[in-house]
Amino acid sequence: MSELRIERSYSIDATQLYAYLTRAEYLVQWWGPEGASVSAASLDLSRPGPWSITIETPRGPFEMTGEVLKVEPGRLVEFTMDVPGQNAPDSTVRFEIVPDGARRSRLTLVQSGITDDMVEMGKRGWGGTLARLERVMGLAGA
Amino acid sequence: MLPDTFAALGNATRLAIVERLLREGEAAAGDLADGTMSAPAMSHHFKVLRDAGILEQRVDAQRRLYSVRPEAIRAIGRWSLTHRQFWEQSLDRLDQLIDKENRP
Repeated sequence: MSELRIERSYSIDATQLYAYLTRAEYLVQWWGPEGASVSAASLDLSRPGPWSITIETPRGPFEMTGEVLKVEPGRLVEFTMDVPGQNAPDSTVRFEIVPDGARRSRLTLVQSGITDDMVEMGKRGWGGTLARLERVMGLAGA
Repeated sequence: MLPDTFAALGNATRLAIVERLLREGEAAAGDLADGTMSAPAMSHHFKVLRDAGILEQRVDAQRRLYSVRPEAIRAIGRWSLTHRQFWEQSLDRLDQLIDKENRP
């Protein structure tokens, strides 16, 4: 099991940042990789319970679901995350917010329970094909 | 463009052609035939792969030579995301959103 940790700093206060991290109208605008768009969401991370989101990518839609485990307004959200159809256990994601002066706040994102950092989220349905292509590309580049 | 790429590769014969060209480099159409498929069927597969931008073709005397366009494979690679890339890109987008909405 490995853990992924990313730290960022944003130019808004902790209460505002918490809203961007938990409310659907904000989440659908930033969740997902470059070029992706969110097509359906039940995504209120500010209260314990299930959530789901469908992200459209050039490879086709992929769905993510999970359950909000823990909420501390303005400070912390913790939820499980599962990509259906992927052969991977649920991982747990935690957003931690710390105020940094009057108009700044720091975000620490921790994802734990990842078996392999190379588990690729966008690969659903294409896992076999891409893995084979990458192997061959590795050979070709050697 | 990318959906075409994936649609074109979602066929065992075409994927095998691409794998072989990646492994062995440029090859003639005739050498890529596996003997079980008719010439028109093979040329259909080559056309699909060319139209999707995966293969390029050049003519050398009587032969048609095919090779894989590296750009096509790189475009696929961009959608193979690790968890880290997924979150880094998401948090970049969050940064842009916050900037846009809170600009004085």
